[in-house]
This record gives sequence, C-alpha cells and structure tokens, in this order.
Amino acid sequence: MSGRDTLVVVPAYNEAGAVGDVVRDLLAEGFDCVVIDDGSADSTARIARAAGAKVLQLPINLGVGGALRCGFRFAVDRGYRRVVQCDADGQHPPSEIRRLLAVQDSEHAHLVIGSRFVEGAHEYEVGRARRFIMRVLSGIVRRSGGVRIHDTTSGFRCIAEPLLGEFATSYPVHFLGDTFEAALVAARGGYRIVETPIHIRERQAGEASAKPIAAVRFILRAVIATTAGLDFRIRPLSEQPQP
Amino acid sequence: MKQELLIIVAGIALGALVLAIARRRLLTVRYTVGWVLLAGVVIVVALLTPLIEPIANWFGMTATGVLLFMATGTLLLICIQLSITASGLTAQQRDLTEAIALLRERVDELEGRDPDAPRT
Repeated sequence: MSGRDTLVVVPAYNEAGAVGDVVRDLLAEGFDCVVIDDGSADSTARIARAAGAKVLQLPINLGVGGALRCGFRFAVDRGYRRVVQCDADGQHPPSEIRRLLAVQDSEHAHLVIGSRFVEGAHEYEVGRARRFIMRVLSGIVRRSGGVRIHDTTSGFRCIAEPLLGEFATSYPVHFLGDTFEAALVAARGGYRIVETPIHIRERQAGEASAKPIAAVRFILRAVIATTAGLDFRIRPLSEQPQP
Repeated sequence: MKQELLIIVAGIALGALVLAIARRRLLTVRYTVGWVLLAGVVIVVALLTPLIEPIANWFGMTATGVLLFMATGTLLLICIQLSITASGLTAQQRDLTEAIALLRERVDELEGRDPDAPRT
C-alpha cells in the first residue's frame, strides 16, 4: 500500500500546548493528517491549522469516540483505505506509526493495536489497580472475542477497510467504548486483530483522562456491556461484500 | 373522603401547571397531551377509590397503598420513557455535530477561505 492511502486521525480536546508539534512531526514524516477539534475551549484548532493540518471542528464536545468517528467518516469520504488514530498530547511518536502500518501490511490486519505491554514494548509504568483492570479487560476480550490482546485500552491503533467503513457508521462514544469495546466488537465480528509493541513517550502537555477513581467504573462498564450484549453493532467480516 | 378530595385537587393543580408551562411554549404538544392525560387519570382514580378498596383488600393492601404503588410505577415508566428519548436525542445530536464539522471543513475548502477569519 502506498502512503497516500493512510490518514492519521488526531482527536484533540484542549491540546493547544502539544497539538502543533504533533502535527508538524506527522507532516514531516510524510503522513496526511486530520485533527478533530472536539469542541475545545482553547486555540487547538487554530494552532493545528497553523501547523499545516486539516482540522475538523466539532461545535460541541462529543468525547473521543465522537471525534474518532468524525475522523473515520472524513477518511472514508476522501477515499483513504486505512486510518491511524493518534493522541494529540504527543504520547505517540510518528515514527511508531510506520511500525503499525508495516504490521497492518504484513498481517493483512483490520485492526492493529499498538500495545504498551507486549514483550518488546518500552517499559510502561502502571499502578497495581490499573494492571488488574487491564487483565480483566483483556480476559473478557479473550473469552468473548477469541482474541488475545493485552493492551485493550491503547489509543494508538491502525484501522483498515472494511472495518474502517463499519466504524465510520457506528462507533461508541461513551467511556471505554472507543478502545476496549471497539476491539471486542471487531473481534466478535471476525475481523483480524493484531497487537504489536510500541514505544510511547511521556505526555508533552495536557491532562491524562484516566483517573484512579475510574477503575471501578472501568470494570463495571466492561462487564455490563459485554454480558448484556449492549455493545454497538457492526456488520461482521463474513457479511462484507467481496471485493 | 378527605383523601380523595386532596388527590382531586392535586390532579387539577397538575393539569393547570402543565397547561401554564405549555402556554409559555416550554412544552411541545406531545408532552403536554401526555401530562394533561395523566392529570385526568389522577382525578378519575381519586373518584374511583371506593371501587379500588375491595381489590386492594383482596391483595392485602389498603386503597392508599395501591394508589401509591400505581403512582410510583407510573412515574418510573415515565422516567424510563424520557431516558429513551434522551438517548435518541443524544445520538441524533452526535450525528449532526459530526456532520456540521465535516460540512464546515468542506465549505472552507470549496470557498478557499481562511477558516480562522471571522465569519460574516
């Protein structure tokens, strides 16, 4: 696949401090990128534009899932075949995107998850509670989706057609939905999911959105959503029109 | 008899309140009709209390208990109905928000205009 069939989607909420550098890095690496300004109150959109990015401005804050789906729609509209989602806080180095894309190419994967845990990944310090949550979540995906993923909440992913088209129409916006649930639903739909180790950097600016109190909600939500079959629906791979 | 009277007054008050809110254009017809009907039901139920008494006794409850039970149940159902409505509205709002962002970008692109310039 050529480089022009890939779009880097950067959801950004009040990331004026970091988004400029992220965009410049991406463009310097030769990627097409679009920043989804998720109703920011600061100058995120202006700074991203000044850095050379295409910017989609959501008039109200939708959350990461909404920003991502908007980016997926944009990608599908403009004929991109795959998307890399990348945080706007500078955690995901553009050089690692090449690694995701290479894995997507070689494995013909529909979803490549950049993992902070699998062997070969950079040392990633997490608390005990967080580690436990990650275990539970990946256990759910393994039992219910039949896929082994360690880092189910990683926000550094590559999504390729036909899964991209499905996510462009249906993608959850609620807490955990855009990471854990999306992986689970893709796995259940029979899409090929591959996890690959990546290196992440320290956050350059902005506030981390995962707080310790969220731990209980994490697990409760995950268990309720999966056991009750509440997750959003996509067409399984087997029902995709053959190319 | 005092109890029935009180419930009837409450029913009338509810109806009046809803109509007053509706006249200020704060309620759409759909919700106004629903609440006025509910006020009517409250009044009718108060008038029918003597008939409810034997049924209530058969269940080992007082008429008051049955009325409270029905009122709570009704309010619960209304809350669930409103949650469904709110969920639908949230999904619609999300669709529209995304569509606006996409269209706005497209317009700026087609007009070749600086997106950060003030809009007239």
